[in-house]
Amino acid sequence: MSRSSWFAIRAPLSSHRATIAKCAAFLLPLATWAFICLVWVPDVIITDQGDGPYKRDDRVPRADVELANATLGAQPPQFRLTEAAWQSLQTAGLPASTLTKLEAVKPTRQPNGEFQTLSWVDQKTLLKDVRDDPNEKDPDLDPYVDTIWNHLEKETKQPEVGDPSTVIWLPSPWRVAKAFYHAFVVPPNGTGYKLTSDSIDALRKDGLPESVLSKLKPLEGKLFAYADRDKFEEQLGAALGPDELQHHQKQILKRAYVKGDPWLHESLWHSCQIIFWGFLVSAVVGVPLGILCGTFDLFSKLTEPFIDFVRYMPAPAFAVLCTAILGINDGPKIAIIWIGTFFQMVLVVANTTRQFDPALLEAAQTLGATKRTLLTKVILPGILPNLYNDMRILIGWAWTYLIVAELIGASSGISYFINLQGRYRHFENAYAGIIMIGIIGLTFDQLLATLARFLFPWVPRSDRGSGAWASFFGALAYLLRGGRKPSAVSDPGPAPAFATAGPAAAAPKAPPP
Amino acid sequence: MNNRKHFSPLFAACGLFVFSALPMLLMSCTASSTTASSKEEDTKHQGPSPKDTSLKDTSPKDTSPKDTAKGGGGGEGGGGGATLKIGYSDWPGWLVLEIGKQKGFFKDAGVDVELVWFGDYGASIDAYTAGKLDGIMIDCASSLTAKSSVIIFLTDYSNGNDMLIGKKGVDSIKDLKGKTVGLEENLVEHLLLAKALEMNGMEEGDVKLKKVKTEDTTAVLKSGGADAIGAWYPISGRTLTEVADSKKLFTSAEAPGLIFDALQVDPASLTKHRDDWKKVVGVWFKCLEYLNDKNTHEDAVKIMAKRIEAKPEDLENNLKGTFLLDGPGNQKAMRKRKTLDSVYGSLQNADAFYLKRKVYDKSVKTENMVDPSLVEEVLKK
Repeated sequence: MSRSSWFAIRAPLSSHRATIAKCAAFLLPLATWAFICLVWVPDVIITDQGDGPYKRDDRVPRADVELANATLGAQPPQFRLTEAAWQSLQTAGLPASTLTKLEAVKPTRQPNGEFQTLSWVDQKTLLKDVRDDPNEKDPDLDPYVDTIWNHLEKETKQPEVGDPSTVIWLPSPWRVAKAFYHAFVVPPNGTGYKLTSDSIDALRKDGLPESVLSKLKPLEGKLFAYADRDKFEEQLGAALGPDELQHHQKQILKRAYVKGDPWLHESLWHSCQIIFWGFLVSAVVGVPLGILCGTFDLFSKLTEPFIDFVRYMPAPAFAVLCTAILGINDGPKIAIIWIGTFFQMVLVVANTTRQFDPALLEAAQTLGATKRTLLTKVILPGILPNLYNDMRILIGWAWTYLIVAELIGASSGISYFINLQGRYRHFENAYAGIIMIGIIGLTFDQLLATLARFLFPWVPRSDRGSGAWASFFGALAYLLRGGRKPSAVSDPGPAPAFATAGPAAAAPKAPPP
Repeated sequence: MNNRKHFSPLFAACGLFVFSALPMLLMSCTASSTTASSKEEDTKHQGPSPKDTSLKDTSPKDTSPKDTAKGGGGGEGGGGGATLKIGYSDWPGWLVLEIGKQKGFFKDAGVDVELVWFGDYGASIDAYTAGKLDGIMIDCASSLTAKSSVIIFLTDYSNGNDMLIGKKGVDSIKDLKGKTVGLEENLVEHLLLAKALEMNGMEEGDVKLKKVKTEDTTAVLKSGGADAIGAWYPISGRTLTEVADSKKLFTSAEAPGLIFDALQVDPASLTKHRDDWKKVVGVWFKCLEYLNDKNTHEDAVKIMAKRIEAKPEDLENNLKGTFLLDGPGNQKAMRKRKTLDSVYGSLQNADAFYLKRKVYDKSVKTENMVDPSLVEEVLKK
């Protein structure tokens, strides 16, 4: 029944259809990804290592797992010294010297409560392993080997078990979503609660009475992981009385908090700050220089050839140099962002300035404008919308250098997280990290785009804004303009919300490495 | 009165969907067919991933001529002529295999081995994890977090060549309380640091960690970005010479068996090409003999030093920091014990370290990671 088609030439879609299309832009790739992960499952994700070599959570081609299981099936049974076997050996009437020698092969309790145990296929190998000298008979062991052997648990070799899984480098969207959630929620290493002498001093300064502090003394020095917060509160409750606890608990927890590795949101914030500073340092010199180059041919010929030359030097190549000059903290990271952004910025801004309608310049000159007036009252305000769009695109550019920047010197931030998870083959965490950057970038970019509608209301747009967003950004833009009405300068050209077209795209660009 | 049928948007959307899914569907068909066919001894199947029939060499700086026996004269090149790709990097224990490459021991043994050099140790582990290598020379602790592999022989245990180096003013591990240590997180030097702190009655929380790639540690210590760093020879050697007044705070000689180094192999590759891997074990022992023989020792050291661009005298002085394991040494260290004199015990210790650092939350069955049978068979002959 609709008169207009989805494919009308040069005419905008109705806002309803536009929303559908924009949603489909994300939903289609997501659906494709989910579909592929449902049908293409050539690997096996190991859930039980059994007696094979493939570790739990490792993703292995199905044929390799079957091969490993076939090999295991052909092997003889083994006899394992389990914790239960060890306990029963204690009461088996063996001499103390024998038990002491056997300590070399007894089960090991790991920090998470599990036991690491050893097993043998025959008595000969057991003796060879436990004796001090493998080839010499040991009077403490050899006579008792039968008794020992009878206490060991016989096991057949267990196969590797796993579920069908996608290939390791393509985790399914639901795994990535889970990883996304976990990355924010799981407390990082080293975070927890610990009462040190410093924290007790701080509590003293806060005004806690000595009676309370003396009760806290026995808890001093013990580190509780963040996940064991309840245990810490329990111990506090045991040490103090109930109303002392209620009164002071918040303060104690605050002072006892030990910061370990940064939380993910802290890493992300750190990354945002690095981008911000790198970009700011670029823009402070880059934008004025670019405008000058676009306005005066002298500046253009003087600086652009050299900048064009440096532009092709890849920023990562300067990584080691920056570390040597600026140390290992944030300095070299900001420097890399600067190197990647500054040279592009100058050329792009110069090009935008050059695209300014010369008719306006002539009109202003006809009206008697001086050079200074031309620059400040005509060119600057005139290129503002396009300059704004250029900056939006260049911020996106700066984000792509983030990965490189954050890995040099002292690795930090979200890129380190992505890299580390990739090394551990937890690709769902790596994907989650990458998607996080994408979301942050897109959200920020769209905020800027929406803000542009109100900062530069004279620029014609294809879609209409309305309602709450309009009032919010309208107010923000009003404030930013200092309460003045927007100046009526004729528009330099359409600037669509998702801007990749426009003068900025015409500027020569080297793709980021 | 327009009766023309509009180009249905729904049809377009479906088309787009199928179009994007098609390449993936095609890939899945080829993957499952090769998976089915690789059940038998497939000579074309070289690496762990069925799609990787032509493993491209991704090593960054390997300029030495590749050692391939294809078309070479002697040696029958194995039943199927499978090329075994082994990744190695700058640890003295692994440089010993370079002797085999330069002297043609691999060719003599009749096995087609390509040693792939990596300037960055971490990159070699990543390459193995990505399925580009069949074997990797790695320290046993790190293999707990890399792709699953099986130890077929031990090259050495670290006896001083892994160390923590302090800058001027830092004299002992106890001095590090509250200070910063720069090293690669959860890698071998981190394990060393944990042991050093434990042996000095300190806790992990007593020092601040700065995550630095091992090759950057020299620059970091020089610029004062950290109070101490962790590195292995030859990087540690460079650090000690370049940074004035730096000194060793703790070395692996104080905890022998903490760090074992080995050749680890992809399990499927090991099962399929067991005889070839056995020959590699034989070549290792032959290289060690070449190194230990008085007549050929100097030549051996020269070959090894050339690979890392160090002076032969410098390498000679540092060889004792890597306790190389020959036949009896391997047998002794491959006994099943929970103490650090055994690789099993060393692996259990590393597993505990990773559990404590929450790298993973369930224990790895380290017992399944060692296969001493190849060493046994080679030595019996």
